[in-house]
Amino acid sequence: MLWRAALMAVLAALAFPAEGRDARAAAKNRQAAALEREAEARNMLGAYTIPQIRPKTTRDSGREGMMLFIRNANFRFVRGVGFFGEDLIVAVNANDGLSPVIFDDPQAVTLRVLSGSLVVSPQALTDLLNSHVFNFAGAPVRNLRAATAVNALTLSGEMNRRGKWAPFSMTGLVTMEGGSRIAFAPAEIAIDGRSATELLKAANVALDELIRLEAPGVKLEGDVIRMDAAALFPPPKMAFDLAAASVDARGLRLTMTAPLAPAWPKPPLARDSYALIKGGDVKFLTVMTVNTLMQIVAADGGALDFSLYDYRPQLAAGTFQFRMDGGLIVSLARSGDPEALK
Amino acid sequence: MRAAALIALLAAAPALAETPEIARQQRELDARREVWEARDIPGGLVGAEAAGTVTSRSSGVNRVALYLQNVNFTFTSGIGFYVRNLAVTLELKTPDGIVDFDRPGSFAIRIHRGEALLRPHHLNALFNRHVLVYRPRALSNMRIRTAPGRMYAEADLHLRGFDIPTSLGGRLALTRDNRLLYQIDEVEAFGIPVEWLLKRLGLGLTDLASLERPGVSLQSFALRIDHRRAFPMPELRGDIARARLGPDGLRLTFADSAGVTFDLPEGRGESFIWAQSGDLKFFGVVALNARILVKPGAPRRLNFNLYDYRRQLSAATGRLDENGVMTITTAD
Repeated sequence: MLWRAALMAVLAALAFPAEGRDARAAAKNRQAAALEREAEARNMLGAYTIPQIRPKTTRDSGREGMMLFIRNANFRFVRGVGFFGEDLIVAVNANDGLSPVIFDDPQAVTLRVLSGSLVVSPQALTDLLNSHVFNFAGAPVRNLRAATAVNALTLSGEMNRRGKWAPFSMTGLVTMEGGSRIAFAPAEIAIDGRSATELLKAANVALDELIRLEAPGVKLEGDVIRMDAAALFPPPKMAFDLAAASVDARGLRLTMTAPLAPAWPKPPLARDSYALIKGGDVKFLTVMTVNTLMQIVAADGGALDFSLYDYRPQLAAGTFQFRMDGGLIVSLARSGDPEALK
Repeated sequence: MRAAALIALLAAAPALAETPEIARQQRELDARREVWEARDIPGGLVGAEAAGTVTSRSSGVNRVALYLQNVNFTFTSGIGFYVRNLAVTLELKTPDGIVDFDRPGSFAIRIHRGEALLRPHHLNALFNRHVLVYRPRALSNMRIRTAPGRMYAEADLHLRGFDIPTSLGGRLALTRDNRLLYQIDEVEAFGIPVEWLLKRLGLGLTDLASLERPGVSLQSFALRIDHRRAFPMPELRGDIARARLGPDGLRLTFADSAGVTFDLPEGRGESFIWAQSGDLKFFGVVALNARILVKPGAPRRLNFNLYDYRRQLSAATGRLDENGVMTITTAD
């Protein structure tokens, strides 16, 4: 059997080894790692980096919160209560320091406005005062109406008078105080349709001797109604430092400042009106984005009108699209709420 | 006097309280959360419910259940199979991980029941783009065709710089340890039958070509295929109940857990993938307590490419209803 042994030896020498690398699997893992690095870079916004406060996991970026950029968009808390955001930059954090920012739970998050301006229209201010600030049993005022002109806020409504309601009107300047506080100093006061300005002055009676006007974020002191603008709005909790406060025909304009604010990122979609979320973790309904990139736009291509308490019907009637890089474009249907901000 | 009266009349104390609007919002949220967090594990899947607790980042269910119907499923590069219907779970490889479509190694696919068909082009892709991708290799350019009860393969056998056109023919059987065994009873080189010669010389195919790859190994006159490891990751789990060869390919039937039943959504059409329960990560997004329907935009068959899902789904349109059910409608 010599010939057989020889043939075996030749064949064995010719046989190839069968080892090989699974290059495709390695490439897939490299691709995943690159995508994760790219996603993590969303937390770096110019000179500003969203702090990492927890260990990273597959479900957790570890970041303190997310950054919200609102450009030319209506941001409503509920119904007509809200503001128009002009290039607003807002740091949004979960209150418990552990959870993602939960869109569906306004009581679980805090908004810290870092820069930009918001405008509260006269109608929005009216809705804010009636449906939120003075919407409690025993409120001293009702049926409030705000009107604005250059350097003049007029607040009218009814004051309670032993169970009867007396019409009143106050007009004055709004000025900035420290932090998020503003002051409304009525220079003209009318009660029952008649001017009470001179009478009060002659009697040396301050306004707070006439009415105990106090509500969350509002307190009448002397002749000045002092307001904490950050505490006026419904949940979520807000915080900011004012750089300017003014009134004009469009409404009450508040401009915010912070020692360090993120750079405005380029949005995935070129739109005039949008909200852009970058970094951190965000949850809406059952979906959580990690190291988020999400642009929210109006499905009809117009101005974005976002209603925080009632966004789910807007979302359900809209659509979303993923981008290759994991970014999300959310197109919201227009709210069916007729009280959208004017 | 009038001023003093006004003081008395107008004094009022505020009562600080939660406003009706936020109270309403929170009531609605509580009701929705009951739906979002309700575990809807498919019937017959025992064990998944013994997972962790619900948190804002986890459903507490550690595997994702999927039902696929009438889908061309591809791992990558044409390697995959046609799914007539399959009930599967995606199982974590590490307890603290997550099923992440960007990391196919993060999970395994356990097949509970159903049927998949490996068409000849699937088999060609499996061998030419996965099994035989190493250097130097003994075999290349596999061209497979199937017939009732038979499988034929043409390939180039590499022997010391020479390509020898080789044809193989044989039947398929299931081994006791649930491996596919391609029992080769026809061997031709240059169109000349040589199987008799090899046997006469006491030689096997392994004396000509060594093939020992994950999940695939060449034995004397048989190719042994472990379906669990032969495909690109993720690994497959579950036994083949029946393997049949027909003109359209190799049909595999699974029946480990015949009682696994899903609550299939309305509007799913004839071709779809339905995810029900567990947490699924894709695009860096985690769908918690997933209820996701993926379907084609037109009445045709859904193609799903796991390794290239981002390209495919980035052209899709998604919707999310208020119960947290996501519908992704593909464009291609």
